[in-house]
Order: sequence, then C-alpha cells, then structure tokens
Amino acid sequence: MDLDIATLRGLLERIAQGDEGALERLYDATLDRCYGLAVRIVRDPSSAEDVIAKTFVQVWQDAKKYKVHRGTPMAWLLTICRSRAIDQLRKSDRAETHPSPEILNTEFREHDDPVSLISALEESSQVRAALEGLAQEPRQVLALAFFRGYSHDEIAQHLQLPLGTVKSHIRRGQQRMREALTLMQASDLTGALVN
Amino acid sequence: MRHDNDMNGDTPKSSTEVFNPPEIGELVDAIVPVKPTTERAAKMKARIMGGIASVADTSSAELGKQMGLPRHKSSAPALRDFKTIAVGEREWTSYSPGVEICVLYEDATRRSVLLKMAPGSFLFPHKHESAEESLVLEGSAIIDDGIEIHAGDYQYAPGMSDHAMISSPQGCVVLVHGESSPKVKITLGLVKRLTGYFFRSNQR
Repeated sequence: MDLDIATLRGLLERIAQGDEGALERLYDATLDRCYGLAVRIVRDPSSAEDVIAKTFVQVWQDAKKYKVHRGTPMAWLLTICRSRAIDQLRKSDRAETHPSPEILNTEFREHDDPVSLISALEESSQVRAALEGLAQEPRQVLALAFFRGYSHDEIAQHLQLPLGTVKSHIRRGQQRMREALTLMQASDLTGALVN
Repeated sequence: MRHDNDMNGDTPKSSTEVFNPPEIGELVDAIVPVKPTTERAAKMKARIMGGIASVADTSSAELGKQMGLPRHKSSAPALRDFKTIAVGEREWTSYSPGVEICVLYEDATRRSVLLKMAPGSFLFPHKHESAEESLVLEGSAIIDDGIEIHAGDYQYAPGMSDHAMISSPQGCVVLVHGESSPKVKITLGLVKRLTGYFFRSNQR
C-alpha cells in the first residue's frame, strides 16, 4: 500500500523526533519498493536484507535532514537504499579475488542486459517511456551507471567504449529523463489544478 | 569508498556518480516493487528496530563512528560545564620552598595540577597511593636515579609507588594528573633513601 506524500512527510517528521512507531509504519508501507530496488542491485536476498537494515537505520538517524523542497519522501528513501545497495555490491564484489574473472564477466554481461533497466521500471512510468526510445548501447551504459554505480571511466572500461561515447550516452539519457520529469511535474500540476 | 548521493542529505555527490539527484530520484521511484517473504520481512524489521536501539544516541554518534571518533553519550555536558584557564589566570599556591602548585581541575575523583619549581629547588621523596601522570611543559628536572627529563617528556607512576628526590637545577613547570587528594607520605624507607641521596651527592 503506497502512502501519499503528506503522510510520508508526517512519518519522517515523527521519525526525526524519535518515534519508533513511525519508523515501523514507514517500513511496512515502503518495504516492497525498497526491497525491489535493493535485490535488483545486489541480486541476492541475503545481501538485500543487509541493505534494507542499513537503509532504515540511516533513515532513523537522518530523517531530520530530509528537506521537502528537494524531492518526495519516497525518492529520498529509495535514493538512500540505492546508495547502501551499491556500497554492499562493492563490498561483496568478488571480481578481484575470483580465480576465473572471465566467468564473472559472463555473469555480469547477462545481468547487464540492456533490457534489465527498462524491465525494472514500472510500465506506466514516464521515465520508462523516455528510456525505451534509446538504442541498446546507451541503455546498457545507463544500466551500469544506475545498478552498479559505475563512473564514466568504469563504464568505458567495462564496455570497452571510448570515454566520450559513454559521456555522450549518459548526457542524452539524462536529457530524456529530465524531459520525462518535466512532463510528469506538468501532469501533477494539471491534476492538482483540476482536482 | 562509501557511495553517497543521498538526496537532501548533507553529504556531497559521490565522485563516481554520473547521475544528478533528480534523475536518480526519478529512476528509483519507478522501480517495480518486489515483496519479500513474510519471514524475511519480519526478520529485517527486527534487525532494524534492534539497530536503532543501539544507535539511538543521535546521528552525530554515527558520524563520529565513521570519522573514527570515540562514541559520546547523549547526555553530553553543557558548555557551561567546561573550564578554561588562560595562562595569565593561573593561581599559584606555595607548596614548599621554591615550589608552587596551581590546581587546574579537581573533583571527587581526579585532579590536575601544575607544579612549578624554581631553579635549584627540590621536592622531598614521597609516596603516591594512586597512579599519577606527569608531563614536563617547560624546563627540566632530575628525577629517580638521576634521570633528567625535559619539556615534552612524560612519566606514568603507578599507585603506591615511591618518588625519590626530585630536583630542578634549571627550574620547570610540570602538568601532573592523578586521582583526587593524593596522600603524600614521608616514610622511613624514603627518609633512608633521602639520606642516601644526600650521602651519594656528597660523595660526588
């Protein structure tokens, strides 16, 4: 069950004041969304558990830092979750110590399937519609940046692409996402005016 | 490296992050949810509620931990409880000929004093019931068995230890920290050592 923005903001305010019940309620209401994100990044339920635990403990500590004008409570929460998931992924990255790194590369390639970013997004979302128009290579670049937290250099190295090409793909992808965001905000505003 | 691009937080964008916060927000917000099993959901919740009980001290505790700082209790003393003494505000009390002390801090359990010895002054042998730490701030002194200590030198003396004669031909200032109200005892053994000290001195 998705709570509306005002309720989520109210919960964060109560959490900032040390209300454990509010944290429990936030957890119950947002777990599926956090878990969906965490498990897609770390690709292991047990690691996802660690991510979820770290995410909500951080929410408990940082709730007072949430600022209304910088985004929705859900985006704030999920952004924390993504950061902790990428931390977890880097911690458990076996590539450096694995005896046969090429096996891992095969595994990564499978997971880096450009479809994966698109398929991970809600069908009805504006951002999915925006990214669906991209070719395979830029999708793959965006997937590595989002799910792995890779830098431009890391993506270029991983996909063996020139750095300039990677930057250009990211720039175009971001441009499309910005346009989608503008559309979404315009639609929200229209909805608010009509209702 | 901690990956940090948490929106609205005070942490800067990660150096490796290629997206801007609004775009990350847009992507994460559109990810399809996945429902964990009931058991897993309950297990994670228990971990979180247990976790917040251990970090309930405030977020600054976590920040401190990340910075490698010691953890502080939430009932931190107020600024008014701090005591600062400027150099010019030291109150010196005569302790023995040529020796003065300035009590910097003292409560029921601990005591910090400055010990100032004029050139050529000395302290009789004495015994400490409690442990004591000393740091020479200025000048030099000759302590047990003729060891000379200078500005910056430190000594720890365990409880019930004996100090032999301490002299300071050049003068010195020493910070001494120990348990409160140390009892100084001049013992027969120390008097004998003192006699021996003078005897040795006279043989030189």
